[in-house]
Amino acid sequence: MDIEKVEKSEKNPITTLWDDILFMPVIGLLDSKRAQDIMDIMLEEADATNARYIILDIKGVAAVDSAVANHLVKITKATKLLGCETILSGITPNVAQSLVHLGIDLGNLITTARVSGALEAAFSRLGKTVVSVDALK
Amino acid sequence: MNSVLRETVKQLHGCAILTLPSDVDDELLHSLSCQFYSYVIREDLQGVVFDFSNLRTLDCRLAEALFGFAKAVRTLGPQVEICSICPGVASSLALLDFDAGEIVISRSLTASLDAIHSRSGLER
Repeated sequence: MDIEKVEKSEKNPITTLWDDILFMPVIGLLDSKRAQDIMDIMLEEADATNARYIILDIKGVAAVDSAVANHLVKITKATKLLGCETILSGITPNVAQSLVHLGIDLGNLITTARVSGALEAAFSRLGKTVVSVDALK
Repeated sequence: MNSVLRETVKQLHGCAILTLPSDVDDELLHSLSCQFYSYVIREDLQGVVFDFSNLRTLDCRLAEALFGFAKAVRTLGPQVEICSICPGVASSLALLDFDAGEIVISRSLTASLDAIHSRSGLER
């Protein structure tokens, strides 16, 4: 693995959260170079693991403007072409308002405020559910 | 089945698998599609899977033609899925703002066949 690739992976970690579900938190600024890096990493990992869902958590993204939103839309379109759906989590009220005001169409993209909501959405589509142990007693 | 179809199409459990060759171009696509439409009608298929695994590069125009082909096949009746798009192709198409529309895309041929059979309520 070359140094550039290692640096890219360190800046943009991705991990398997569950069978068929990957998780990638994004922290900091999201410019077009970084968006391309994120897209490359997500596509490589989705291809290598055959994952069906990627949770992309943007809670740590400094600001979401129309350029960032367009990057996110492109990333989700790319993963979809591999048969892997992106779920966008970490949407804050400010981000939600910005997206509406900017007139950004997220299409059929699944968005949630919390990572747990994204995980639930993925589980639901995979026919899985989380139940309390007490409920099973 | 004529030679172009024989080289690119296999039938499995009521589904046709059309494996696109790496050198697919407009001419080949035109010839293939004309023959494939008749084949789909004749065989009364449950599903059709377009396997993109051989394609390492794809420009937006050819992608639109291929997806258009898939959509046209779907209007003839069978369920249609596209599978095995490689990361490089996915990245290029996304950057070109390519819209796959409502065509279902799966990770692998197995996933496509499973999905078609699951929706049809058939066992493989």
